[in-house]
Amino acid sequence: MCTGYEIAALAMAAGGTVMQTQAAEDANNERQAILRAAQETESKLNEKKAATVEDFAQQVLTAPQRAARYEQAATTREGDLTKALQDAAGGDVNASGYGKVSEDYTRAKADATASAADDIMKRARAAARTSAAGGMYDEESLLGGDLASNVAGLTSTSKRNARYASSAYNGVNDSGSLVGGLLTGASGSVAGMK
Amino acid sequence: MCGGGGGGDGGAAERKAAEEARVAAAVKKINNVMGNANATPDAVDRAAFTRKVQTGRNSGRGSKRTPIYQEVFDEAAYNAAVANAKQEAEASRAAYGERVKLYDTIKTDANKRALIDLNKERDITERNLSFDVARQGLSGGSHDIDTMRQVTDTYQQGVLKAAELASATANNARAADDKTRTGLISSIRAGLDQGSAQSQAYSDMRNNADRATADANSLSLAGFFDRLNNLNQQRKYNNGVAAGSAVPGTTTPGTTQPKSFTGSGGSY
Repeated sequence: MCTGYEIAALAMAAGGTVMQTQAAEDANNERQAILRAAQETESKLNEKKAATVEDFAQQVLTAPQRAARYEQAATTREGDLTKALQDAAGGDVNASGYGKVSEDYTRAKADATASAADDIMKRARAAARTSAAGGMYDEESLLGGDLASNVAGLTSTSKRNARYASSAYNGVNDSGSLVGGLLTGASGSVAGMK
Repeated sequence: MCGGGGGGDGGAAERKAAEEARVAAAVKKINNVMGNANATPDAVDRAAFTRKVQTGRNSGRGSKRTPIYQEVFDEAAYNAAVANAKQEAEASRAAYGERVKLYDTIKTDANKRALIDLNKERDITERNLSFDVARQGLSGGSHDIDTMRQVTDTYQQGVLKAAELASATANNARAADDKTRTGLISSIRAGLDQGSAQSQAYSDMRNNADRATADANSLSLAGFFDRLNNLNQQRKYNNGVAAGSAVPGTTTPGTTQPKSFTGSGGSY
């Protein structure tokens, strides 16, 4: 027949075990919830990144946009080169006739100057158009830099979330287990009392 | 307190499926925007269009009256999905066709620029050689024809060279764009923890600009007629030596050779 102490000890041991089990389960649930939340956040960030890259392609890389960017780069470059030519002195042909020269000579000299100007303008135009691809890629690269920055921002958020989740996961307090354990342990002492 | 029973994973599988679907849609969008010459229709799973429909119950009593199912294939929906996949592949190929127009423009512009130098030098060389031929009193003779044939031959070599340069420039642009396309796709597919995959795609875009600038600077065919001009110079020198006359620019006949020139047409 059990003594009062023994009954009390049994009750303490059972209570302690229940407390321990319950506490462990609660802690496990809390950890699972932290993991689920972290996974969900990571999924959303990945989806956001996919959408960001997709938007970039849609807004920057369609064929009509690129064709327009190419033409714009050519026009801008042509303007720069033309201005450089206009600003520079020495476009006249220097022929070596002195004193009173014939009308033919004067006309030929003017024609030669006009021809040289026409020639260099053609070159400027051609050079502008061939540098347009570089201009187009240059602008795309700048826009790509924005994209890289945006994606890097998402990456940083992801890393911060991972650190936060890890810290929260490790910080889940299983104090009920301790109390339950103490209770179970104490039950032995109580049972030994007479 | 079982933490989500019935094989529950807290919705992880659903989230993963949704994320993968989102990634696949983004990849498809990139391909559609930039185009893919080799786009083929996505495979359509027939099983996804087959569903079980209860058509009745087995005869008997109680638990023996189990339901009878029949598989029904939704052909219209399947055909629509197949048609949609074909349409998307066509759209991707069409987008690539649009992209090719840009490369054609790049090629034409590059060719024009290379030809400017070539045409100019042809004019100058032709004029100089015509004067030389006339000075020798050989105009209208076989030497005249032979000299002009050499000019034409050199010019045609230059035309081929210009076409090659233009094609190479356009091909470089095409390769650069395809690299951008695949880089962006890799970036989408890579997890956010894979930083190198992300940054690679964007540094490649920077390289595109540098490469295109270098290509533009290599398009000049200036000096393509140097070889022909130098041969003519050498011939004049030899004639001068043979005649015992002073070579222009020297004080003693035959003591100084003309400079050896190196041009894009070759050297000697």
